[in-house]
Amino acid sequence: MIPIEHYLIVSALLFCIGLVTVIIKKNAIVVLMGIELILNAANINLVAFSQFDASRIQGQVFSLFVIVIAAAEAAVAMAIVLKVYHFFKTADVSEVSDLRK
Amino acid sequence: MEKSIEVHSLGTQLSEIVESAFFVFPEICLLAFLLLILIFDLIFRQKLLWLFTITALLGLFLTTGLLLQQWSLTAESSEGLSLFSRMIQLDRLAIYFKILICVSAVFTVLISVNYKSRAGSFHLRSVKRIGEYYTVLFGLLLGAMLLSMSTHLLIIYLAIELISISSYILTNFNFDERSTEASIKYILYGGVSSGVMLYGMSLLYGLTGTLDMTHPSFQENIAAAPMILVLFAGLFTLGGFLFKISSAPFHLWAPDVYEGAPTPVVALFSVVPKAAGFVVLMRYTAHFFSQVSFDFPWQTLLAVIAIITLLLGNFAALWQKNVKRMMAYSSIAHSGFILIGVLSTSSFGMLSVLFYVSVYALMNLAAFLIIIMISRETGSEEISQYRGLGEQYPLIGVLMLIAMISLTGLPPTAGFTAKLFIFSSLWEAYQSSDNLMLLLLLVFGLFNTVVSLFYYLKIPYFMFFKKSETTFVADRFSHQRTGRRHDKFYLFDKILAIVLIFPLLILFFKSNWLIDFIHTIPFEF
Repeated sequence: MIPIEHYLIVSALLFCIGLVTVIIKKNAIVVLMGIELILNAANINLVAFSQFDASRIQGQVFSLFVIVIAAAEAAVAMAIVLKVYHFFKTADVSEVSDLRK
Repeated sequence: MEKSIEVHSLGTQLSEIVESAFFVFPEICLLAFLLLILIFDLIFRQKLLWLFTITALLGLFLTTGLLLQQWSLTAESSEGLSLFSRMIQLDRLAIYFKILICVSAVFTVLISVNYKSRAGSFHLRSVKRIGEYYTVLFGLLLGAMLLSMSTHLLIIYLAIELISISSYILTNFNFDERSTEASIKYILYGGVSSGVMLYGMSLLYGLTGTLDMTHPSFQENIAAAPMILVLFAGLFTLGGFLFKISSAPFHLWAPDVYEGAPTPVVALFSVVPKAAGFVVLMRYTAHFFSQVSFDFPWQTLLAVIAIITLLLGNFAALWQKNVKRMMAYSSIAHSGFILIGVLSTSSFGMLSVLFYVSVYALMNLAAFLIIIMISRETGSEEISQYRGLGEQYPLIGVLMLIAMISLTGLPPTAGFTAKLFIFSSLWEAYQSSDNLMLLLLLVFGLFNTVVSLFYYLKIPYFMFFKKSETTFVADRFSHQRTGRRHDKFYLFDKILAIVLIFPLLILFFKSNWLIDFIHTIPFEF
């Protein structure tokens, strides 16, 4: 059996990569990819910890919910990115700054 | 052997689910009306627009009625019911907030009736998307009601996401450049903060082996776990809640979203998700922070967050020229004040939080209603456009003045009473803990109340003491057409504004009416 540490290291790495992507990338779609990485890092954690759970299943069920919600959120996000592209002709978040003027 | 046990437990679980379903009738009612509006939208697309508003109001009134019935059924002393195998916790605290959420939603629907966006793309009397608007709105309410009942990490996550995704869609309902920009910023900030919260939750699950915050093993394992891990898990999870209440350092989305989104939606955002966020924060504080055994200074931590939130909100608000953007910073500052009540962790602190949130809902809805009325008149949300409006329309001017005085926290309005309760609960907490940070927080809180005076009273100052340089275009046209100047505000809106403002004065003189109501809520920190 693979010890729990391996899962945790992978998920921590994924989380950090996702967070860095979110912070340094300007393109809205790439930022959304970073968010997916963060969510999947949490999923790995949940499934890995699930083996120590007394009722065994809570973490796995949680990760299923997360996958569904991530899909819903991505759908809404993509629709909004399309609208942004329609109005601003770019998906670069730093160039989308009409407000605050 | 094992299988038969599982089947048995499945049977009991099913019967528990069926039994629990009787206690979530308000939510079921709300969901039924959500579906009803969706079906209406398919049948009556583009016609019978009033039908949608009537249906939405009917649904909200029915839900409120069911909640009031639930309130009278739950005994004062009871700890509350754990439903759906400890997934949600139905107690008076939850019911109180659910009633508050439904009442705010009723006012939001009434406010949006006469709202017209700048380009005219969002106007409920003509828009084809009215069915979608109410569907998504009800989705947000359902999420907020679930969130105020949840003590289980899975339900907290689901409810927060339900609120968030509905909010992203509602933000975009002006369908113009500004609201699109607001919603892309909102969804990117929101996605990251909920992702970070989820990672924190997964760590909490790993540390405790359960997702249920009220479970005894959750609290035992939290107390036994190493400090650094609990700190990471706790702070990550806290981040998601701070995002919902738009508190520093997760407040960055608020100004842009408030400026870009349709104003009735902003009024809703400033009340409903925030109220739900504060309930879950209170439960989190009670079940998580208070259980941490080692010497973790979580009260100091929350105090620092509150101080930063207050300073950022109030000082940024001073420089704003757009009213909605100013209200965004003001709502950030108010989050700081309510956080003070949460970190006091006493029954008096809870009382002050409930009182403050209720009063805050009233005065914010009133302020946004008047902003909508004036922006329809002047076609702008700039503060400089408020010149001379008070002389032209004395009633609107006086109502705005009362709303702003209440937001500042001066007598004779309920805003003063609310701030008084918050600060006395903080003083009580300081006396019992002798934490110097709390004294500092008290000083900063009082100082910030003075600062807020400047930007809140700027609006009445412009309305009454600055002369208007130009008469408004819309006004001149009506002058030519009818031969006399007439008031362009809808009577309906004026009555609504009075209905919202009046309780602010009543609750100052008769604050014990609401207090007695709140006193019947048992909640243990």
